[in-house]
Amino acid sequence: MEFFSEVWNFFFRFMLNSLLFLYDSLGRNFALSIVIFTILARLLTLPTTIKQQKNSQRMQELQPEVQRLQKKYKDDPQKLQEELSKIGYSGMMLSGCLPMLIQLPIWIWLYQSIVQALSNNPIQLLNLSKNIYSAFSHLVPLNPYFLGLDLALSPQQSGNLLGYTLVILVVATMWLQQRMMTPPSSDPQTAQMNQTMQVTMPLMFGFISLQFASGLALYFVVSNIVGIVVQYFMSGRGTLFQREPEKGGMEEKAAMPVKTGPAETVVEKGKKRGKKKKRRR
Amino acid sequence: MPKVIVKRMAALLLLALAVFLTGCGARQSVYSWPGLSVADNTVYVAVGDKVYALEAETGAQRWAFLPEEDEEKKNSLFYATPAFGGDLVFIGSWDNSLYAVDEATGSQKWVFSTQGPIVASPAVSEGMVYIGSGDGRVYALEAASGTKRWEFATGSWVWATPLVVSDSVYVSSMDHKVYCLEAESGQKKWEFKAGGAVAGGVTVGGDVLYFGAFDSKVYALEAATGQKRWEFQMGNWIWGQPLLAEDTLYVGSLDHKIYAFDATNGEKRWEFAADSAVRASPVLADSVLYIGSEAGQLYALDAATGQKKWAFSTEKGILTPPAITHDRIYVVSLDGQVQALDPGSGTSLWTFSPGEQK
Repeated sequence: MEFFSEVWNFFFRFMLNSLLFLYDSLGRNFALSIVIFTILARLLTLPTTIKQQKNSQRMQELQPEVQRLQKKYKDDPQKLQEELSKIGYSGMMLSGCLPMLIQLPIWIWLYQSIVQALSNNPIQLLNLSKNIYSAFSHLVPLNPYFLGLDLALSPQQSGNLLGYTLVILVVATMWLQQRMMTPPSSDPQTAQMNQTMQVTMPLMFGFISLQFASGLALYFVVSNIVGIVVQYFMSGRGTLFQREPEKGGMEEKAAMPVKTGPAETVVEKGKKRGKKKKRRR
Repeated sequence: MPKVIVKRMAALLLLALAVFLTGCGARQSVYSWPGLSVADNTVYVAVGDKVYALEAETGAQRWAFLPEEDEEKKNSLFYATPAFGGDLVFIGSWDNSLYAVDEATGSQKWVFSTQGPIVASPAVSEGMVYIGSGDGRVYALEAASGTKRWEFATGSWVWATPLVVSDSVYVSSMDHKVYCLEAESGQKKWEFKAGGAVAGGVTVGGDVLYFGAFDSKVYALEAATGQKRWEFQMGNWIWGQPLLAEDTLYVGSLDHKIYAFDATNGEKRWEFAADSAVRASPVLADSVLYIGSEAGQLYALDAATGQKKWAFSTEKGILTPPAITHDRIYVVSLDGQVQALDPGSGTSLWTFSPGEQK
């Protein structure tokens, strides 16, 4: 456990001091440092992001087959699992989670670095002293201001309009990213879950942004924008302008997937025929 | 998609969010280290949002002061050591305010609001109170009424107690500077820029001023001009106020060490390795140096050699300097528990726990 803690702290300290290095190099502009730092971290995790997306696309392509098997073995879950394993679907579920497990610590270190660098009370600064490299001690306390907004304070504490604007941007960009990332699903249950996630996640992060330092909101916004750009180059606008499938009807209509380009992953055949002209991008 | 997989995905997402939010929790929970002082057989301890006055002999509570809450003062929180002047006790709060409280009853006499949190205790001298604030200013107030006489702006938070020596006020600031001001008008006489933020107070002995900074150096300056005499590099930030006794300067550092220097030339006389970071300033009585560590040890060291005489363990950390009378050492740990100790042996004579009090 102690070894795990030491490894964790090593990487956290490295991230924190990299952020401070950027701050020192970029004219001591902390907002700019967060922007560049977040972009660099997203680029660092780009290979795993791409792998995750490709995996997700492949899973969508297998959906009709999965649904067929689900119907066929609806009374025999064990056999269903076996068949899903045979076509590689179960393995994909697990390998889809792996990139997320790699990315998660990086996001936590990044987040903790921003929070600790923005220390503005004595107890927080005392903790910072344990993690800062001596070469960066002269930077303390950091200048937390960006266009008059104190990034160390929450929007509620600062009462700054820009702080609240950042919160709105967090919600908007996260919704946009979720909408582009979520593949269309012919399974009503999955579609329902996707729809719920698309609403609750942005609202939850909006709430967090309202409560915590505005520097964190800036990090969320930049991270989301990078995510949107990456997503666009990988699969276009995704389901951004697609309507959610109607409850109940889609399962019956599900047929073979039709790939028409990077933006359109899988579209049900029946739906495609009816809306062929409207769907042209 | 199979139901079981959907459930697993949702569980994983929730787990990720929980981990993330656990990290978030640390951000907003502002808590403080307590302030402790002793005068006229009374121990004053500022813990959380309350100030307690205790009988020095028994630890019995005389009164408790809780600032009146209003919409603008929701974050009443004390870091500062209570200070005294006339029949008033002065205490600065994280809610931006300096409170003057009746020494006998604990009732509020006046309050002065600044634009930033107050971390340090004020300096009280000749009917005046000098207080630094997180708004980067130092204020000179009339002790009796709290009326402002002057203010001086520095470039960052002022987290240390100003020091008044004859007609000068010495102020250290997180803008990396130490200022010398005229006590009467607040006009700047000189300033000195260190290599890091100065969170602790300054000490003056004769014509020399001493302080430590976040560049891990302790500095000695000419008190009259601010010219540097010597400096000494340590292993981490220096936060506490140095203590000068005769020709020896005692300094604690976040590098887990306590140092003794020849005050005239900065030559190291001894160092003592503590178990953790030393933020609080040391105090001296009868040739024994008392100093607390972040892990919760109070050390009693031979001031001449740095040899440990005894150590007293508290359950939580010690970030506050101990307070001393002729026959007692008082120490407060991070949880606000006050212990009265026998200076010879370090045995506990009484304990006060604020959580058990009203």
